[in-house]
Amino acid sequence: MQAFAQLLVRRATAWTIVLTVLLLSLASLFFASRVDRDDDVLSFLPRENPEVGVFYDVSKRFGSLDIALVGISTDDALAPAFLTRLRDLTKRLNETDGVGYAMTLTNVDDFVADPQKGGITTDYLIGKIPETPEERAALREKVMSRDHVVGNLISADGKATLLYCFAGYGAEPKVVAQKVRTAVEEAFPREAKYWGGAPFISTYIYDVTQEDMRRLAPWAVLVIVLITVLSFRDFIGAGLALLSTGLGIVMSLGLMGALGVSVNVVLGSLPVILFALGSAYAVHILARYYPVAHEQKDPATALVQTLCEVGPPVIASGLTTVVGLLSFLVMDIAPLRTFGIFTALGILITLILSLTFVPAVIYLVRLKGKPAAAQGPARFHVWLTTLPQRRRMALGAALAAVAIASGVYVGKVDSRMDNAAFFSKNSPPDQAETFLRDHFGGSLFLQIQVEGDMTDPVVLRELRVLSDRIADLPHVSSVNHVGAVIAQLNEAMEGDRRIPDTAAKVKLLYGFLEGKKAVTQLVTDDRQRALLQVKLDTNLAAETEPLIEQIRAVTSTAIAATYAVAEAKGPRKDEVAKRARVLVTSRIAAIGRQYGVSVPEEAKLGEQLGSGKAPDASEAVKAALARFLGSEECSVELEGPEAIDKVAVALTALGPRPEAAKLTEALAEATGKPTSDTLVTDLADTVDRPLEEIWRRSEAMARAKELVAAAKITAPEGPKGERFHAAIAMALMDLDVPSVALPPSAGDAAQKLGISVTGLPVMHAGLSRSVESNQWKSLFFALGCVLLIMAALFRSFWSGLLGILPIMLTMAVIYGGMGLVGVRLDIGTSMLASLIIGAGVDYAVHLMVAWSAPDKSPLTESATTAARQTGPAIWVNALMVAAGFFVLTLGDARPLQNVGGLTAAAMVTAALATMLVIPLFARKTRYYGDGSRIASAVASSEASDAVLDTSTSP
Amino acid sequence: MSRIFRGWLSASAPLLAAALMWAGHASADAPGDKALKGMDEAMNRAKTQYYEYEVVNQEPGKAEKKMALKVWIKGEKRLTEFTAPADMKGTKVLILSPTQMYVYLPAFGKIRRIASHVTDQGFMGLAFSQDDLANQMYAPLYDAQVASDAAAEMKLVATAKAGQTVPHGKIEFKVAKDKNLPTEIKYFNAAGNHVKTETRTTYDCQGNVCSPQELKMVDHTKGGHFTKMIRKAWKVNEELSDDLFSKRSLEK
Repeated sequence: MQAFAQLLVRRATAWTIVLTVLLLSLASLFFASRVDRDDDVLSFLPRENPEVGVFYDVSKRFGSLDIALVGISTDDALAPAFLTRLRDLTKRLNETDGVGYAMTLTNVDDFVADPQKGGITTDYLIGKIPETPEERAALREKVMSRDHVVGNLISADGKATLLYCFAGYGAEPKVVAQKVRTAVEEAFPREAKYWGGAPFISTYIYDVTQEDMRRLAPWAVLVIVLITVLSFRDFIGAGLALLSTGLGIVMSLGLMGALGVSVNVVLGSLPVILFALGSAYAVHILARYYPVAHEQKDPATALVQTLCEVGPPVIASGLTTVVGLLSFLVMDIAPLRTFGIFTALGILITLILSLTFVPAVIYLVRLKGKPAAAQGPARFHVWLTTLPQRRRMALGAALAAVAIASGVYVGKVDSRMDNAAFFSKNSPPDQAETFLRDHFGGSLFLQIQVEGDMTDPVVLRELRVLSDRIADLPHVSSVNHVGAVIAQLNEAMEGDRRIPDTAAKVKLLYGFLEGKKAVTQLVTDDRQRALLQVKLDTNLAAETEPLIEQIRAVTSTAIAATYAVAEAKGPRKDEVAKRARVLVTSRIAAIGRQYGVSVPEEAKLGEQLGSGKAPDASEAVKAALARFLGSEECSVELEGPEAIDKVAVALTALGPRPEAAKLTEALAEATGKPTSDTLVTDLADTVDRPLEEIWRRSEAMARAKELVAAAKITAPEGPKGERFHAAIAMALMDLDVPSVALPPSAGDAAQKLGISVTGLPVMHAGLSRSVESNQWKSLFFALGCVLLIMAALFRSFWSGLLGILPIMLTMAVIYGGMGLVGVRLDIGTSMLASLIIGAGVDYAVHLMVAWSAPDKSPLTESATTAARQTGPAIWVNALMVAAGFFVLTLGDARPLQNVGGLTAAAMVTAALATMLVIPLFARKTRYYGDGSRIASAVASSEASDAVLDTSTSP
Repeated sequence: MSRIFRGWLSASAPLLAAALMWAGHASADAPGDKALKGMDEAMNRAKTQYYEYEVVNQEPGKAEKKMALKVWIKGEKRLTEFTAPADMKGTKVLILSPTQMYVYLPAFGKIRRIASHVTDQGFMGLAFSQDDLANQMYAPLYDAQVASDAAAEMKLVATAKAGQTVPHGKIEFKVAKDKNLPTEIKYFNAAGNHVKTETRTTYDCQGNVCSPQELKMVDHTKGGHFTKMIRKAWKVNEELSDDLFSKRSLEK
């Protein structure tokens, strides 16, 4: 170190260093300006974590994170003026580049059966903006009768509506979110709007963090500058300390730019963290230089002495900080690893600058010395450091109590993660969550991915039974799945809202869903994977985590992981019938919940099914047949109502599946034409399938009414009651399904149904486990490395251990404090340990190096020397860092608030712990140096003339 | 005012009025409108047509999808039968009027009457909307102006006639002057943004009826989503029975 110091105090060397640093800084400025920003919050997901990996894959596959949600609150979401604006907005968004699809009340498709002409009429749910009070009332009744619309696109009270916006392929969700926001703000400038969904939330998190950094960083720097200037009472020295740190930051950013590393939410805090941590080295050098220069008068000599005394501990403390940050490398979150690398590089750069650039400038400007302060703070430092010698027992007991209490509260640190980790209460995303929960049943979704052939009706029915079972669990508002969509489309095409019985029908219906963006959320293009979207009415981890376990239990029991298709008329017909009953009872239970109707338990319902004689449905069949024969759907025209009625009566008498010959004969008789007549043969062809369908539907409706009466179910009144009965009827039709999925028996060809539960709550659970594991790994890595460095520096394991005791106490206090005030362990706070180790051990190194007194002197003398030499630097640094980080608590970004407040507290605690714990446990008069190493070059009454201590105990 | 002059004025007034009326008429039937009418006429010369198309649909980020269909056209009536993919094979769509449609689904074995009022959306994931495919007459809906007129090609800018509700706010046509048929159609929304482009390439003719061998529609608002309709067979003015366009024929 002495040779290095002697080299520095040459004019040529000093100028070379200064010019080199300036050139490097200019180059760095150029590259720093090329640093890109990366606001992909998904990049923070540790994909090696199985739960996080599944979430990531599923989100990418189904685009779950590409949906922007906008809730709009108004007096009447069905008011004409509101609807006009909503329709214009929807059209505008659907013509906006980057928006894959925007869906609102105004462009959702709807169909109604046409009782006169037959078939269906398709239109937008809101095809025409109502103009008269009657039209308004009719529209309200129509919209509110659509069970799949209420609670998804319009609230039950009609005072809120929801816009779904799917980002287009390759579109940047953040850019899409901005376009959506602009369009919505222009369309609805006065209404309250709530921005939900991943694009808005991730944008909020990134923007608010960046905004906080942009707004608060200057104040943090100002506070740091003020504290530095007040501490040194010398503008040149203070400026030099800050300049060297600033250059270190510029060079780090330049390195990132040169290597093409983008700035993310975490890396965005690098300047502040580097400013806080990196300024310590220059501070220590300057703090030591002033009194030495005051005594030596010659700056060169003073510099050499300063560097010889402070250089090794500065290097050691710098290396411990670097190691603390490099411990991020053991984490499984890529951006944190990048953060660790570049912050460590930044620290290394500031360390090098403090040992080269700072001395070079000091030498060139011939910075004047100052006497060591003996009053005020200096007296406090000495008082504090000697306190353990004066009040050993009391202080020991107090520190033990603090450690024990902290330990108790450390155990209470909650590592469960939910959205509260990312944004504060009443922040825009929090308000959006509240709005969505209050008006639309929730904003948080669990997803269940099912792998299997989604064109097979038996698989779709398994999907549905899983959905019905899950819908029964607490905190589940609703469950949506592709089976429901297929059933709805089947109603349009066949007339029955149920999953069709054949794969051919299902495949055909899928054809009509091509290009429907909303459907891509439910099934993949190859129809081999489906997603159950489970809406939750809570976002609290304490409620979602138990629910996840319940859902996992349901997924393992409700459907079989391997199955074989068993036919209703095959050898396993009894098992098929039993399974069909399960499908039906679970469906009826789910229908009951959907309509808010109490239904008997599934077991009791099962007893009611099929009991008694099938009710007579012939009148209903006759009426339905007459409607069909008179409709435009019937390809054969019959002349007049009488002819139609005759044919209807004749067909009804035949039952659902008459033989072809009997059908022709009956039609011939009813029409009064020969069996060979074209009218008769065409009619026989045409009515064949409708006859069977009408019988089945009419019988199911009669059975539904009978079941509702027998089971004493109080059905809703009016149209809702009709829909309820129809839904029960559709469920009952599944008693006659031709095949179901059963666990394979011997010889069956088994097929698999892969199930994985995922979604934000599962991802949060996985992430919290990852964070917890990262915490421990990085903590042990950092502590181990720091212990090694300390042991090497002091040539003693025990001395090394003494050096890390203050940071251990600091961590206990900080994590205990987190447990006490309820701050959770999350991505941000998990960085604390490494930061505390990095910065906190710095104080211990300096104090122990300066801990020096002649042999056999009382320890108070060593303590006094250490306090005088290092107290100012330690406290200046602690207060600088604390003040700098505390400023971050004044922002809106929850992660920055937590990290800022806790780091500020940690720095003050670390300084305090260093000045109390080391003196408390110190048993030697010196821990570093041999006392003769610098004597020949520099004579100083306060120099560390200690002997290199190789003792094996503290 | 002299008597002679008053006499001249009274005599010339009707002539002046007639001239002004004629001038107004001339403005409504400007070269652009005339060209648009001419294009409409050239596109609608056939009495009947039969096409076989291969349809290639490419949504961004997804695998290319192919369909095949046969189309019979007679006046306003149109019968379409899907021949591929296998899931859709045998599906028939009979359109008797813009809102009157019958669908025959082979798996269901029955006809479904669908009165559709949703015609401005792409169907079955295609970039073409029903409006795009159905609209073959522009002059009744749009006023046109000649934007440029070169030797081989004319560019028309069509905007909605007053009081007309139209699917597109503005349409730009590039018209090949030799056949009087569009080679490129750019669709703009009400805000004036260019949203879609349709290209019709490689026209060939049977008699005075010409048809492009390929139609391609690109949706610029959906990341370049496009649909190509490649003509595989084409017959013009062959006898097509009215029975073909009946519900009963759907079931056969």
